[in-house]
Amino acid sequence: MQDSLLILQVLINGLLLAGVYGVAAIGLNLIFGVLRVANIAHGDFMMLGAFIVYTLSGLGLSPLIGIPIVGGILFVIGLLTERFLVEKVVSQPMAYSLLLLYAVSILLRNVGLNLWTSNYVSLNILPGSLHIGPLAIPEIRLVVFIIAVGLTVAFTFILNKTTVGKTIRASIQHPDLAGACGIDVRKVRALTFGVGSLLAGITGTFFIMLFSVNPEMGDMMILKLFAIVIVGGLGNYMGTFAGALVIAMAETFTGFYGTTQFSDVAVFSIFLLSLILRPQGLLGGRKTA
Amino acid sequence: MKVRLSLLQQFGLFLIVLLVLALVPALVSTYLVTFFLTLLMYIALAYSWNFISGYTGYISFGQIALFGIGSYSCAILIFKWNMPWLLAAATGSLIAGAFAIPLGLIMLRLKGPYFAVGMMGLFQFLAALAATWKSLTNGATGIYLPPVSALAYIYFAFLGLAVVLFLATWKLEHSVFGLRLRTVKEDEEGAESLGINTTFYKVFAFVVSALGCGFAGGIQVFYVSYVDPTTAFPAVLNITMIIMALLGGMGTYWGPLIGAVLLGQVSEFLWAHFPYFHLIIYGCLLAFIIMFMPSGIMGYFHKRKMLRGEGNPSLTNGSAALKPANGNG
Repeated sequence: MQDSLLILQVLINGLLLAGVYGVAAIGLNLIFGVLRVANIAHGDFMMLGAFIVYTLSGLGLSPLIGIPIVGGILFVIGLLTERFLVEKVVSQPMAYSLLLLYAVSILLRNVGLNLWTSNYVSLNILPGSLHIGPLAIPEIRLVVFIIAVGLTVAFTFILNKTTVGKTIRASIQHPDLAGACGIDVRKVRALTFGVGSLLAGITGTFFIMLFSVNPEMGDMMILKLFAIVIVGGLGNYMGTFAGALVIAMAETFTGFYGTTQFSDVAVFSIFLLSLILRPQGLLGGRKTA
Repeated sequence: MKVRLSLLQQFGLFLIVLLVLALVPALVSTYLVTFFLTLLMYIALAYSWNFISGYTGYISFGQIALFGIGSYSCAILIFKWNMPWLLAAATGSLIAGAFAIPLGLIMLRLKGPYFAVGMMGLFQFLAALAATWKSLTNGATGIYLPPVSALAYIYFAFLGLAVVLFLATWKLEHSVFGLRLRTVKEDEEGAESLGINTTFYKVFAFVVSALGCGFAGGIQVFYVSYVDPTTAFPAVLNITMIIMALLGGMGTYWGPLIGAVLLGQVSEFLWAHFPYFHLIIYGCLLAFIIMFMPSGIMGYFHKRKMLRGEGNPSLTNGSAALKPANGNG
């Protein structure tokens, strides 16, 4: 009885974490879909979001108000990164964008280390827990999960029901044809990278509220995000959630029964296994949104 | 200005440079020896990275993982079996090479970004493993080795490694083997359809790269006479070797040398004057190279027809130098 309760608790924690991972993974997946570029700096955009909200709350701003501000800032940063860097190499072979975003990643991480040092920090808000029967759910996890789900639903709605969403999906399915139909594909690319960075930044703000992080968090995050996207299939949004669930559950369970390092090993194993077992799904997966 | 050297002249130049380098420890101060020694390690690592990523187009963000394997193998062999250090470094190199065979067979099935991120993950995974596997690696405490007596021997070890890797790359450039290897970058599927066993060539290049990285790791461990997860898997070195090869021109045999020599000076200056900013500057430099001179300094000169060597097809147009294995544009 006690054991099954404990497992239920861990399951709930995994589910809540999956909702958070899902937001950043959608951003990564979307950028890959539209630009055919693997944003290896995605984890560092998350870091930027986390530490901007940290700085803002140091200035006396509530972290929950900080979230939309971070979203705005990261959107602009993403837009500019695409417009002035990635756009220049987007028609080149993939190694160009890969190395360029690696440069962006090095740059952001070390700017972060200079500004915020390598100390681990966190924002402790809403320390209480919600008790449902014998289960205890930390309020902050619940709030973050609700925001994450809301964001995902809103984003899915935009992608599927609005004109902007249609242009994005058209650009994913056939960039040349979309261009011929009068869609400004360049603008869509910049917009997509902006939105992807926004989602990464907001996930970063969740992270600093849930865990302790330092400016090197991008290292481990990018592996997890890639693992999620690969497990779920590129361009497949329902798949992204499945992937987020797999990774979050693996992490929560191994973290519960072992150590943090052990859970990193588990995540990396899943990452490698998914790469090895379905290499055909990596680039040849469904491209539609 | 046009530079054209015959094979004999190139060989003569090579011998002269080698002779000068061999005399360095006898002529200059200890500080300069350590400077040259580090430079030679950079050269060796840049060539190692170039061997896999420059020639096959499989960009590795974690080749330093094999440096770490070499470091730990060498340290453990010296510490537990009291092995002579050069033998230990060579064995460490072989262990890294042996490890690279199954690793290469698995990882090199991955294309483009997946290989790159996979190697990055491996690098972090091994660093985490080294920190947790205390019975073998002594965890974060690390393993202490007897301090080094003669710097010159370490200098010669790095010199030998750098020269061997240079010659191997030179040979690659001038052989059918190298031509076949480069087909992996140009058009892997096309090469397969012509009957070239691309897996063999890719894994071979990966193993050579691992041998180079592993040996460098082994020598380095003896030089600093200490190993822990951070010194065995140095993230900064990982970035440096990539930028060096790119700056000189990846997929060329002079490129890593030029890149390492130039950046070696620059990084010495940066460490001295801007210790906190030098990686930021590296990031900017890497972005600059990719955007404005993707085929590096060698490619820049080739484009302006200032060099007329035997044609290097990967330099004739800018985009081919970085063409990925998957050909995805």
